[in-house]
Amino acid sequence: MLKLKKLTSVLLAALLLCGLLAAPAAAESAGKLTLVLRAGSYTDVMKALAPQFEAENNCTIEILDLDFSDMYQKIALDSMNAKGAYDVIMIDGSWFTEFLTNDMLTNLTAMNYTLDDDFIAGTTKGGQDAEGNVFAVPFFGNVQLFYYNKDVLANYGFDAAPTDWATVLELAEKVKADGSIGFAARAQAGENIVTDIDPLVLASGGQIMDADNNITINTPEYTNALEQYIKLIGAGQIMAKDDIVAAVNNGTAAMSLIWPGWYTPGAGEPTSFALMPNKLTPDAEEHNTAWYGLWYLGVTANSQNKDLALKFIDYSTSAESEIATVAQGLTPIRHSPYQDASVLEQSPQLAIVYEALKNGVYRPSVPQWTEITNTLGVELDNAVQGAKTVEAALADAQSACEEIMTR
Amino acid sequence: MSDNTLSSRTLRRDSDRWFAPKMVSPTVLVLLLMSAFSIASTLYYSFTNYYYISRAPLKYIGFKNYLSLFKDNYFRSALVNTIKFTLWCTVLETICGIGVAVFVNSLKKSRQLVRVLLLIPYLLPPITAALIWQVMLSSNYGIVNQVISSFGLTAYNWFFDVRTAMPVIIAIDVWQCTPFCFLLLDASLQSIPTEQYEAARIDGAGKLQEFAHVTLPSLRNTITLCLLLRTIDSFRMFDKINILTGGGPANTTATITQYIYNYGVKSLKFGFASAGAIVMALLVLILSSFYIKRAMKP
Repeated sequence: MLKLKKLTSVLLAALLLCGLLAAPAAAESAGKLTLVLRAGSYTDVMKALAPQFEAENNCTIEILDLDFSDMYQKIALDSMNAKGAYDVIMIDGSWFTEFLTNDMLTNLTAMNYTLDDDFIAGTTKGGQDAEGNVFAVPFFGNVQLFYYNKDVLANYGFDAAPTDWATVLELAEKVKADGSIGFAARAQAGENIVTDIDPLVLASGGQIMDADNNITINTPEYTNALEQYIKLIGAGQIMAKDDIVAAVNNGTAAMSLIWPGWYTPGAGEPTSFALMPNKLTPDAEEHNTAWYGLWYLGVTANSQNKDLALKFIDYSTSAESEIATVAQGLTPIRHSPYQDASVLEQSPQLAIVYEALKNGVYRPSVPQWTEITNTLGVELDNAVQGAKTVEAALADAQSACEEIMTR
Repeated sequence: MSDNTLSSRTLRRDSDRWFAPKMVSPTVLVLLLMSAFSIASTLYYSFTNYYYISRAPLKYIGFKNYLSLFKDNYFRSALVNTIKFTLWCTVLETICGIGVAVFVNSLKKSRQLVRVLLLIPYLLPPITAALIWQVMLSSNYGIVNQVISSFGLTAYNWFFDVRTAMPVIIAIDVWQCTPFCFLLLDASLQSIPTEQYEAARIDGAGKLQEFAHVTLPSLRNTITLCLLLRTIDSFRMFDKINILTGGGPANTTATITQYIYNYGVKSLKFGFASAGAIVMALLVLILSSFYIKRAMKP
């Protein structure tokens, strides 16, 4: 018995020693990269790309997939640490100015990175500072689109989506009269309702801020847009994002707005993207009405592995990687994938996304954007729910947002 | 008496005097670190313009955050919503807890099994409970709306209507937290001597009179405890509201915690958020003091 105990102890000690000796060998890799990504197709894309990069660079990649608010908070909280836990972060276009102002990102131009001409020109501006230095590289071509059920619209004599908002409303009211949902809207306080209404604001010739970053909410254009939006909701229903996609897909709802990052219909499906209606009435002036919701990739200022992080960004935003990951739901941000017949065969809807990306409109680039959308979103929600009149809600939003800008 | 005896007695008295403080000092240290330190730093930040990601130095701004808080209509409406929500949840959960406890106590068979089944909602993490109900009440594929539609009625948008959003969240919270009250009250019911019920029956008391004159008075302290604990918990409620409505529609479900999250934490304005947190802590303290005073009465 004593001999057996001694033998067991010796064997355990030997195993432990082997483990200790093996550990240094396993640690000799190029390093570890931690990616912070938005949950959904964005993560699927990166999970498809990571293994090849890991093999070629002898490194490991850890992926954190989070929702929108969690991403923002975790990135912000980690930015104050001397040594960051994250290396590559997905950046929503609306966060970029705030992150840049607070020195949270690495200057990639200083690391000899340059953007090539294959990137869709309009999409790169949102990742650069005023001097043209690149701090974030476009990764996912999210842009607001119109989304509709082809079969439902065909029942009302439409073989394509309407191109003006008055016709959208008229059609939504007919659909509602027949017992279905004319228009599915998110309409929840915050960024959701602000982005929902903005295509109508742009179609009306209005905007949230002018070129000098003055607040222009309490205007006839915004008032008109909000009134139209309330009528649209009257002919439809407010739903969560996943419910909207499901409702239009199964024909319960006729039309909605969508971001390709939510869902991209495949060939043979009853739903389709369309360019956002760009005027209020059939005879009105046309405007660019597709808001960019582009996602970028950046290297954190406190990353412990900046060179490898930049190499990964270069790899994952290359034309080859984009073409390879359309199947995982990537919306490319370069010209060449959209000119590749195999890509369009996989996902014919991308042709519409390409048109929208070439003519998209940026959201205002101010560090106070998160606060502005919170505040404006609450007032818009009040108007939509009938808690305030349109005029009172927009007047309150105007003064509150002006106060935010002057702090 | 010799000097040695006197000095050893003095020594023993001194060491007796310090014995109790020494014994509680580890607990006090932990409490100081966990509670007092965080409260003190929150209080400190509430008087500053602390914006988490800013590299600019921290600036003392006096009571500006508190003034902004009380001048904001949305904070005032969040306060009213919090009080409404707390009152409804606390009262309903306690009443339902009493009812369920009395019912379970009256069961002759399967009492243990029923107790376990009744506990299941309380065992779920609040986020899981919220997500389950979000799916069940979905206007698109939720089972509740499917049942409603099968009766020929229109599916309802429970979370996006100002008339139903708050009542639905209250109902979900009552569903989840009644078992907690039931647990406390059920344990207390077991300690009521059966002789009291026998004596009441001999005196001709019916079931209602037994309940009113024997059961309720005996449960008084536990009911007070339920009310205190549920008040504190409901006042601080955040997870269900944040997941299900985010404080909407039209701020009808925005409580103080949701307000602090939307206007302070989300935009990383921690100075402002700290002011909100201090105000909330004071309100909870004031509310709890009524209960604690009551409970301390002999």
